[in-house]
Amino acid sequence: MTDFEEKVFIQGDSYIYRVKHRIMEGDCEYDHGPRLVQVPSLLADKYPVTNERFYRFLQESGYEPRDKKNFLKHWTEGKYREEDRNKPVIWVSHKDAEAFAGWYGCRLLYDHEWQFAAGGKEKFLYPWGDHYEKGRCNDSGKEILTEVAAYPEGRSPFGLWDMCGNAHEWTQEVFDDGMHVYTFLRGGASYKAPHFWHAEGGAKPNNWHLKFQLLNEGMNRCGTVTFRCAKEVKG
Amino acid sequence: MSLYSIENQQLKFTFDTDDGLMCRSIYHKAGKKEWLKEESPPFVLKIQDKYYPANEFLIEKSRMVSDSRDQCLIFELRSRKWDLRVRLSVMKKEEAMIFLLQAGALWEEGPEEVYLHIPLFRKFIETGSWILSANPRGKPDGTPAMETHEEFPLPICHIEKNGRGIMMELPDDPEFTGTWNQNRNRQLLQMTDMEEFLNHELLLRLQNRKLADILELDFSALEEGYKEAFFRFKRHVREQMDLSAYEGEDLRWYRKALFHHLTFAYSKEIFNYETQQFEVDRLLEEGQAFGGYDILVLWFVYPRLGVDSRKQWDFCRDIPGGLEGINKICKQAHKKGVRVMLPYNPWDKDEGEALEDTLEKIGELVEKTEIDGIWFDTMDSVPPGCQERIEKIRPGVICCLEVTPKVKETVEKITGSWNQRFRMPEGHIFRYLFPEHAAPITSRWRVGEKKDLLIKRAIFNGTGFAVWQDVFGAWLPFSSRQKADLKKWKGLLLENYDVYFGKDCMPLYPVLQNEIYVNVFFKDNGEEEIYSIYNASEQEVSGPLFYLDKKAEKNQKIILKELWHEGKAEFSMKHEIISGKLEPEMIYILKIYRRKCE
Repeated sequence: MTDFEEKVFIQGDSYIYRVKHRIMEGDCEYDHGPRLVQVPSLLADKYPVTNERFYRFLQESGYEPRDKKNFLKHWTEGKYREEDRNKPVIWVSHKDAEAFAGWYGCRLLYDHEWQFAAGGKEKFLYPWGDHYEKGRCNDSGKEILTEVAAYPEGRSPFGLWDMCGNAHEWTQEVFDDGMHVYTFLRGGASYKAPHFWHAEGGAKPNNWHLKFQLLNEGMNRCGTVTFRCAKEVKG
Repeated sequence: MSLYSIENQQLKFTFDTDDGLMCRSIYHKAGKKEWLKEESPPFVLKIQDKYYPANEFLIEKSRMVSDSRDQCLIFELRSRKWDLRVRLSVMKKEEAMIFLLQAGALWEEGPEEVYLHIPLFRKFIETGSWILSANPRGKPDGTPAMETHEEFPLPICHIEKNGRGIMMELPDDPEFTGTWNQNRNRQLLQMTDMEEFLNHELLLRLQNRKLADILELDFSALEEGYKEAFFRFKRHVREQMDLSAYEGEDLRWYRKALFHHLTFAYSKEIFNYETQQFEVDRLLEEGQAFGGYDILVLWFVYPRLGVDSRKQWDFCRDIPGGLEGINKICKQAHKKGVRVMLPYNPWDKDEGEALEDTLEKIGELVEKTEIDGIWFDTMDSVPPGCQERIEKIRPGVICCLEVTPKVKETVEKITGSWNQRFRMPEGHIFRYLFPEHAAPITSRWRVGEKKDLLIKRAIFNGTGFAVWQDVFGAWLPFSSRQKADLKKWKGLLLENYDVYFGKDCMPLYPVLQNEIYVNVFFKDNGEEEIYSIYNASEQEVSGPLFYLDKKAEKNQKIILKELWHEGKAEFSMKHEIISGKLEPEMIYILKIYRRKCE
């Protein structure tokens, strides 16, 4: 039986970080590299947090967001639908994700950590290698999620699952440039909005991130964004 | 000698058919002047690299026909080489002589490319100068100092220094006049280079013997130069349109809402991340540095749309307070006399979303909120039936386009758009044809000196301004000095509203020196006029600048006042010639008062 709480050890290392993506109007004020970055040794979630795990978190912690707009919008009567049990939890904000992680003594992965966790020391462009291969992740184009363990062929070199497509993942750092507050999403999603002017979707390579400008919680919670946790360990 | 003539009050055309068809004369009646320096074939066709002038065609018929209103001289011609017919008609109208060419051909081995050339232009007298439709005045590098509009092409003129001249209009529907779908030809209107114009060869596609219109030139005479040409053209444009929408009482406020603000919701310019609230009062207070915003375009859509399948309509419900929150913003803004628009993004649609669904959603937004308008992102028109739907729900809600309207029907019913052009000294012809159309200037990416240039452009063209500091997450603020300039400009624009937004205004007013550009605006009662003057050169310019539009009448005193430099600029007038000293790349606002002497 799959243990969706399982964590994977990632040996700390340094690597040359470089991110490339379409820059929409609004820019993406960040040092996209190349630069040498340090990744500490981590115990990282093997899977994105599932609806079932998040449900247990609510039970255990009693967590209630102050602004509940769109919070777990896909649940009914305070619980996930059974068919969604092992799908990544969505309609959770960055704050909700941080609350979850904090409750278990963890945090989210930083942007550069996420890239390392997905590409490994091999620095693969996709979790499984350097070439895109259909069938290794959920890239249906639709906003229909699959279970976090649905694509064994999509595992990263460290053995992390579901890092490409299906649902975007929040990263740890929230930036404040003086006028705006934003964070980065990673991995892409199954959903791909139809127009050029829409934010990019679909399964994305490991060296890609999406600038996500934060507003109120109702706007921050999305039907395509999940998260996974990690904690630093001695390695 | 077989001569055929046709004339109206202004011009007389004479053709000679003795040795093939030749245009012998174009006579300017008021000027008592022959406009052709020598006779010329009225057209030349080129087929397979060989030229066939009109006088080499067989004349099958020459006749004058008339009815109760019109008179028309018609020549039916046939090529001696090809199975090709041409008809040249010159029709007398009160205001113009219509020079119409039609042609048809039958080909043995499939159609050939046929090129049309009008050699008459090269035979116009040498004392005149050409003013092209797409380049009414060239900058020193030859490129046009005017941004033109395809739907409303300026006339082509040939004018002497004394103001006498010939004006030609090509009155076609631009939507369907490419050589790819019909033969009526507008290439002459697109030419910006004189050699290209004089050597033109216009591609035709003649596929059967039936005569197709290939070129229409409506000739009229000028006596007062380009200004007369411009205002005649403007009248022709406007008299074919119903502009009554601009007179609507409901929309009056809109015409005076001169300063817009693109309010990016994900910005501390309005949003407080601590309290999670929009701070409208603070935004409007800060806007006072610009002279105050009149309209906020509240933008919470792009570039966030698309992360998930929520659409713009969902976002209206998800932003702080949802629809109630939007209403709260409207109420706060309305208290300060400021209006609020929400965007409509046509590209953000559900799969298979039908027009009716779109109208329903826009209608619902209008119904459930107190917004004052919809801002149509990326659009130069609104979805069919949209304005009518809005009007039915709440009269007075305005539609503003992101892009200058393209077709007449849109100009007639949509009363505002944003002018997102930034060059100087260029102005857009649209502003001068339809001064009642609200079109603030903006250009999101200009920074530093380019922002100064943008401000100059607003002043030079007498327009409002859309303040846009947060470009979807890129913070590009105006400097304190730029804000002060805009505040001052808004004050002047409001003080002189009736001058700037009177019926009569003209771009590229004739000047007496190179590299200075002047636009002129007239108050409807004729008592005041404003010349906005720009010295585009890097040198100081001094001396005579331009002639005053009209002489002082008896018992009329003319007073000059420069408004932008507050008395520090030097201008004088002698014999109706305005002289002055212009600093390099500087803008001036010269106001003329015509006062009755006691």
